[in-house]
Amino acid sequence: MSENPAPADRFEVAGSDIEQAQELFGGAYNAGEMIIEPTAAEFTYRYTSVGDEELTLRGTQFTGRVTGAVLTEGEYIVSWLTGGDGATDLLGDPVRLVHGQPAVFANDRLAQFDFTDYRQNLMHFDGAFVERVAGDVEGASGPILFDTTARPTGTALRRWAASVTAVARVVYDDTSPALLRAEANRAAAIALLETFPHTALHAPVEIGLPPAGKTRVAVEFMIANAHLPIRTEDVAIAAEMSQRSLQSAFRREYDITAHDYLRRIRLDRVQEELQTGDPSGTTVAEIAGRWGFAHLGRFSASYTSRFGEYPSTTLGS
Amino acid sequence: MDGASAPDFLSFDDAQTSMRLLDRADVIFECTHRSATHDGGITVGRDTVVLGGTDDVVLIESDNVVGWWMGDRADVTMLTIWSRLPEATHETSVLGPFVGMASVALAEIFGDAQRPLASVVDRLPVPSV
Repeated sequence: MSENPAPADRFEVAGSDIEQAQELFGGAYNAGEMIIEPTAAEFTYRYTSVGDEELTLRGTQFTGRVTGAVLTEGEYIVSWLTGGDGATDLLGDPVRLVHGQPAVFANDRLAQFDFTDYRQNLMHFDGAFVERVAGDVEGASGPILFDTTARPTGTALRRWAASVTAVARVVYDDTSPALLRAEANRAAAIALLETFPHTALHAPVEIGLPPAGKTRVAVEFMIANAHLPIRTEDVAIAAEMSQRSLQSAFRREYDITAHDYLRRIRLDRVQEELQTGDPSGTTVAEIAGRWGFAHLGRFSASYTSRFGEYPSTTLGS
Repeated sequence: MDGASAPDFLSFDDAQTSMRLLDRADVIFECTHRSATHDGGITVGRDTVVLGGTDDVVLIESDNVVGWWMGDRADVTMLTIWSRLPEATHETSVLGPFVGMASVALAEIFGDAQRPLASVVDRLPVPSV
C-alpha cells in the first residue's frame, strides 16, 4: 500500500476492421456469441478501460450493429448509453437503454443484446468487492441479486450521476493517490447499492461476542495506517478476526461499521491538518483528497456533522 | 431525464490520453496500455505509425519503416520496428489480446513480419522506446 500517486491500469483498442473487432470482442470479453454488421456509416470501433481489480470504467463506441449474448460472472456491471440505440436481456427481462440512465446487467445467465451506432459506458465491479462493501454497509453476505429492470430517475439519477462523475474524476486522474482511488471505488460500490434495488442471496449471520482485545488491536491498526488505502479485510487480518466478527464487534461496541470508524479517524486527521493549515496556501479539497474523501459535498456534510462546523471554518480559524 | 444524466467515459478518456496523435481518419488500428509494470502500445495509420508509452512517443512515417517483428520477452510481447528515418530500432510492448490484431494491421501496411537485413540492423542505434 502506498500514499503516493498510483495511476490506474489502462488500455485502449480501436480500429476499422469488422473481423478483427469480432475476434476481439467475441473471444476476449466473454461474449457468448457476437455478430457485428456495418450500418450506413463507415465501420469503426473503440474500446477503453481504466481502473484496478476492484473497479474498471469502460467506454465503447461502435459505428455498426452489434448483436449477440454475454455471460456476466464474478462481477457486477452497470451501463448506460450516451449515444445510439441498445437493448439488453432481450430473452429475459428486456431493458432498452436510455441515454444517461444506467441499468445493471443480468448475472449468471446468457443475456441477449442488440446495439446500433452506439456509445456505451460501463462500470465493471469485482463481485467479491461489491459483496464486501455490502457486508460493511448493509450487514449482508454472499452474492447479490440486482433488479436489472430498475432504472433510476429524478433525485436518485442525479445522485448517481454526481457520484459516478466524482469517481471518474479520481479514476482518470493519474495523480490520484492510492487511498483516494480506494475510497472512490468504495463510493462507487455504495452508489450502486443505494441506487439499484437488490437482494442478498444469503441472510446476515449473527455471531457471538469477539474478544474486546481484538477490537482494540483493530482500532490501533486503523489509527496507525489511516493514511494508507487499507480496507476492512486488512483490519480483520491484523486483528486476527473474520470480516463478520469485525463488523459485529464494531456495531456492538461503537454502533457504526468498521469502515465508518476508519472514516472518523480520517476526519480527525483532516481536522488536525485544517487547524494547522495556512488558509492562503491550502484548500479544504486538497486536504480532504489526501485523506481519501473524493466527494467534497459528502465530506463536508460528514465533517460538519462530526465537528459542528464547516471545514472551511476550521481552516480559517 | 429530469435534468440528470450519467457521464460519458470516453470524454474523460479523451481528456487524459496523450498518445492519440494521429488523425483518426488515418488510423486503422490502435492499442495502448499502461500499468505498474508496462507502458506502451502502437497506433498504425496508413501514413504514420506511432509507438511508445504515455510519456515517450515516437512517430515514424510509414514509408521509412524497413521491417517489424513481434516476440515474447519475459511476460510481455515486444514489438520491434526498424526505420531508416530516423535511423533507429524502436520497441514497445503489446498486450496479449491485441497481438494478433496488431500483427494483421502491421502486415496490411508494411507486409509480413520480417527483420531487415543484418547489415542494416547492425548499424542502427539501440531501441529508443
